[in-house]
Amino acid sequence: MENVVECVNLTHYYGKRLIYENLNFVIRKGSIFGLLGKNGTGKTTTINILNGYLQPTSGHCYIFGEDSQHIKPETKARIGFLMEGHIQYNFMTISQIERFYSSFYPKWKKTAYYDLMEKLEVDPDQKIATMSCGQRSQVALGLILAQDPDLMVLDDYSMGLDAGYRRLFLDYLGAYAKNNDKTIFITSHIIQDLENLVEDIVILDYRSVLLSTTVEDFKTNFKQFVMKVPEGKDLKIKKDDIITNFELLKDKLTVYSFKSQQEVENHLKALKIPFTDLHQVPMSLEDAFIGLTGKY
Amino acid sequence: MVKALFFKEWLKIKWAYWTMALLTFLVLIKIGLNLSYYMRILEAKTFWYQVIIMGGMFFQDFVYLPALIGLVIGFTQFMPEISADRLKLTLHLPMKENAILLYMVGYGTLMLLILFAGTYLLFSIMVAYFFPFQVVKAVWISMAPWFLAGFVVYWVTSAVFVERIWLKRIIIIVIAVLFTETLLYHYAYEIYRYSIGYFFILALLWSIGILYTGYRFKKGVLK
Repeated sequence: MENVVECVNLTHYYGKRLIYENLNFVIRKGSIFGLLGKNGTGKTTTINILNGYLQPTSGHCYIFGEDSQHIKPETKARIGFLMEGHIQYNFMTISQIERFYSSFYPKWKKTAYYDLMEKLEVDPDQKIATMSCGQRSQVALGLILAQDPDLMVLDDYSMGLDAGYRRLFLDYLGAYAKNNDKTIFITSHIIQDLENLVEDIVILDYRSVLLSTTVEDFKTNFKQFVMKVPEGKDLKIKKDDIITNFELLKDKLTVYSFKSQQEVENHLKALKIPFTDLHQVPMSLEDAFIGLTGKY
Repeated sequence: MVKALFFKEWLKIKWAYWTMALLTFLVLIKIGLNLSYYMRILEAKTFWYQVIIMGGMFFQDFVYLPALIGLVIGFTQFMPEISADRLKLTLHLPMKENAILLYMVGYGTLMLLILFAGTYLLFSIMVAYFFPFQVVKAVWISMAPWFLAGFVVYWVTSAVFVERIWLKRIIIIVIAVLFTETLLYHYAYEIYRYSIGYFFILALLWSIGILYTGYRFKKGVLK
């Protein structure tokens, strides 16, 4: 299957601060790809590199086969870009901004934009600067839908949105992507919203890539085991090949692992951890994400 | 596409532009009233003597006005682009990045040119009403560097706004201030009569300064 985006051995530093090293991923045509990670792990950095706004320290990104540092205007027309915080030209009105963008995009779909604007019940002459954050997010989404791009790059669409607007945003996005065979590259730190949307994910941690997989595989293979341990006892437990992460709260030990329950049990016994009542607890994507990346 | 880009630029600057046009008009009226006043109170021959023989400049209100206009237009045009990194949206438009930046600066330059040319025309008519053509010509040449300074300040403002790093901004501003200062001398008529052409060529270099800072913006350069 054709790859719309391909990032190869991407490494970036801000000064001497390493953001990540050797980030590799591809985005398949027609797929919805999520780049997940806590704040400050390099999600926006990746988007900036992908859009050609930042030169990586090393490595390359290709969009539609072109180096992201030198994207042709015709290729830019195929990419819809949502900036973090739904930034748009807030000195324009609803109708002015539609008129402005329509001149640039040959496949412009005016109705896609105004259909969404009707739901907001805003005046076409209302300035974007006077709208709420939720309304501005719909303006930004409406403009991208009207552009009808082959690839949508959405940088933290959820920022500043309440649950209702987040749902509205994703409902429109999901329906649009499904009906039009579009490719979506989305970043967010609200993982729960993406559970039923994204297919492939890369999870970033500070300075490294934690995981690159499908949501399905991640949820199937990454497990949470909860057990009881004596409270106050100094447990000799640490992260290793079997224990991906763990959390100890009073007498409750939670272990996260890609291994089977039997392997984890055997490993804990080998470590001489005095546990009882070990059982697997199902996880949502957000639980799994926190299990993998930790709460801090 | 270019028309749409110009539309966006106009939306940003329109209020500042009309305000600056009004301010220029008020300055013109002030100078006109002063001229009329001097003619009536000092008598024409005394005023004539002061202007022609003593080299008195009756239009010094114009010295800093174009620079102020350049600063205000540059500020209103580029401030919204830089706040919240909105320039990324502009550079994402399906045109070549350098072309986008040059069209933006070109539009501001064109609008300044219209305002400055209108000011020159109205002021020339006013001066020609009281003085012979030789004085009108001397006024043209004397005011030229001040208006050139207006363009330079505008070009520098646009380049400085697009630059991300404060140290670089300060360096650009210091160099620009030194250059612009030389254009704003106003102790005699026609002091740039033979050098204005060279200053014009040097000034034009500032007009493409945005390509340098725009390149740095695009590459995300942080030093």
